[in-house]
Amino acid sequence: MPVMADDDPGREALLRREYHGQTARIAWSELAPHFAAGKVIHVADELDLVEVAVQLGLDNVARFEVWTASGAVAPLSDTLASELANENASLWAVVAPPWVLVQSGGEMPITDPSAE
Amino acid sequence: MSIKVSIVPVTAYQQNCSILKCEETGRGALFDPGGDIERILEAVRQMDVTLEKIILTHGHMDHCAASDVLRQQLGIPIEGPQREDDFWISKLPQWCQMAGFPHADAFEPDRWLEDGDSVAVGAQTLEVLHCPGHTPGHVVLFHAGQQLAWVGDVIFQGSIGRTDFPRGNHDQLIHSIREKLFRLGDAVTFIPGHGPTSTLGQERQSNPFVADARYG
Repeated sequence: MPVMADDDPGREALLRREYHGQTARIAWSELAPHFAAGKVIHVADELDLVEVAVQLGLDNVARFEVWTASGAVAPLSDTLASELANENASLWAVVAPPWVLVQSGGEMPITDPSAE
Repeated sequence: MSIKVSIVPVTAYQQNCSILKCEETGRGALFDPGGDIERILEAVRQMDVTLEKIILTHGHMDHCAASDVLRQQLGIPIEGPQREDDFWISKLPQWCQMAGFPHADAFEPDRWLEDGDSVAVGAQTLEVLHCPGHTPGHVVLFHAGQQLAWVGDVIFQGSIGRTDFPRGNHDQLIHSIREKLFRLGDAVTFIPGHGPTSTLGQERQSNPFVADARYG
């Protein structure tokens, strides 16, 4: 039997509001120590960063199996880290303990916390 | 016999280089000098400690890239890690270049450490635990008297080391933590390679990767 996510709509709304409010752009130099500690997870640009954080908070194993299998959600690679370091790039980031989820796209994550 | 320890975060990765001083002798050791040599030496001066060796937990650049320069500058030996990390140290120049770190030459430690070895620092003795997983030759140093361990990148507060590197091994890392580190006792405080210190007891309770609740 597949593991199901927490389906409490109140908790999902709370997580969405919290993560949306905590999502911000951050320079690579600030992320580097977290990368060294293996805590930085890269989220592909086609995904909604906040939505990924919410599903992590809900322990949605099924969604994460799909995302990780496709590589859309994966530990930040050394190659990409090297590129980000060279540019001191800034990324969208949200802390979803113990992970720091990051996305290198230029747009604000699209989740609307009021749309529940 | 007491000891004094100072932590100096170094490099872009804010790696916890630390300095151990034996209060009885005034002698000490430097753990994992990954870079920022002047900052390290300033901390050494402030502690008024005479360094007698460099100790390495493992061969990653952020932990060892300044080791050889300091060995030559201070005329002291390098001890550790375990020999299996030779492949990391021998590729130090390439890894530094790839990650945008200052250049560092490959080197060979004066002493490779093995599980069960002892390392003397002044009048203090540190026990060596071989804890592979993050790297194959990773070692942990343990001061039984002060219940203090230098764990490198084996475990962090709330997390564990990466295992996606060449020859990293997740199962081996979990085994190292649960079967070796945790057996040192809940009261042991550890200095990780990155981030704040913690205790093994705290991690047994709350670390999502290795907590008792997950492994029973």
